[in-house]
Formats: sequence, structure tokens, C-alpha cells
Amino acid sequence: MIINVLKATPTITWSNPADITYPTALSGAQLNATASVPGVLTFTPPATTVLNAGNAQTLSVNFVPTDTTNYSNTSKDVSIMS
Amino acid sequence: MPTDTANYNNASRDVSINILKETPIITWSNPVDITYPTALSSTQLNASASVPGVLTYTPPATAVLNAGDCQTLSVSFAPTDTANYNNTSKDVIIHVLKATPTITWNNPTDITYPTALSATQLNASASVPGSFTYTPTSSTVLDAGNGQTLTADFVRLTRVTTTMLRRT
Repeated sequence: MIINVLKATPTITWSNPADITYPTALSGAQLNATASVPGVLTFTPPATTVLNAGNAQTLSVNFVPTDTTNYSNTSKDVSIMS
Repeated sequence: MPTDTANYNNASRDVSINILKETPIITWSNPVDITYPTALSSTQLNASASVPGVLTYTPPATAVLNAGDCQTLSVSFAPTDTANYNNTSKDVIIHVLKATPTITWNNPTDITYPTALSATQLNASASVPGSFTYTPTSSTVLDAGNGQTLTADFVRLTRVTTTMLRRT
């Protein structure tokens, strides 16, 4: 018989960061996403970026797993108030 | 009565002769092979005799022979005219082939890595009692990928035969 085994989608754990005050630069305090499997997290905007003041600004992370045979790329957004 | 009746009297004498019973001819050829569990029937038990009488088969119709080569079928013939014909018998040979069990197994629904193989996927069933061995085995975690082959080997154990069958 034939079976298809689908790639799993890793789970990214990342909550909305606490508010920051302009001109606080983004750092590991905000860009602290974790993934359920090994891989590389790439944040947009990246660390050291200074966001203008404003509500509900989007932070994104793109995740590329190390085991690309068995896991799919994935991403997640959170919001921050600066 | 002599030709020369002037010189010879008529005379007579009795003699005896033995008339032996004839042995009827049974016509019966080896039947074509059958497959277990085909019951014997008139297709195999189709002997005929050269004179009227009763044919009795051993084993009889409806008997189910186990698989095996060169099994003997016998017929005994009792003629109606027992005054003039002997009883007789004849044997033929039949081969009974092993049956091939039917395995039912459908392609499983897709699974997502790292789901381990389990009875949900390895759920083949057979038309006769036996056991399955799967490759890969239960609890194996396959890498993601389409069209991966699962194989089931079926073993049927009986008193006289062992049957193996593979389904992929």
C-alpha cells in the first residue's frame, strides 16, 4: 500500500510584547519567539530597529526549520505598542 | 445321427463348459486440478461403466480434500446383472491446489510527520485466519514524503499447510 506523510508545521510561541516607549530599540526582550523544533527565526523589523510611536504595530517572525524534510516553513505576527 | 444308418445307431453324450463372468470396464480419467476448498462433485466424480450398475465413490461428493498433490479418488462398481458381471473398481489421481487468501487493505489516509505508524494504517485483513507482519513496523516514524510503500506479509498456519502472501 501507499501512504503519504505530510510535513509538520512547527509551532511558534510568541506573545504580544509589553509596550515600549519611543525611542526604545527592538531587542531580544520583544523579539523572543521560540519554535517547537530547531531552526532559524528571522524577525521583521529586526533587532535594533526603532519604531515610531503608535498602537498595534506588527512584528513578524519567519521560521525556517533545520529539518526541511519533515517540517514546513512558517511565520507568526504579534503586535506592539510604541 | 450317423450318415451310415445301416451300420450305426444314434448316440449322444453330455459335456460341460464354464462361462466366466465378465469384468465391466470403468471409464474414468484423472480430473483437472481443483483449488482448496472446492468440494468434490460430479465434475470430478464422473466415472462411467460399460454395463448398468451402481458407482460408489470414495471420498464421496461434497467431500473437501486438503491441499496436496496426487490424492486418490476411488470408485467401486456393482453391476446390476450380478449373474454375468463382476464387481470392479478404479482409482484416479487429483491434485488439490492451495487456496490464496484474499487480503483487504486500502491506502491509508495521509498522516503528518512525526505520526508513528499504528493499527490505524497497518490494518490489513485476510479472508482466512492468520497473522500479518508489516514493513515498516508499527511505531515507525516515516520521514515526510509522498508515495511511501507499506508492505504486509500474511502467514496462514493450518494443520497441514503454511501459506505466505505479500501485499504492498
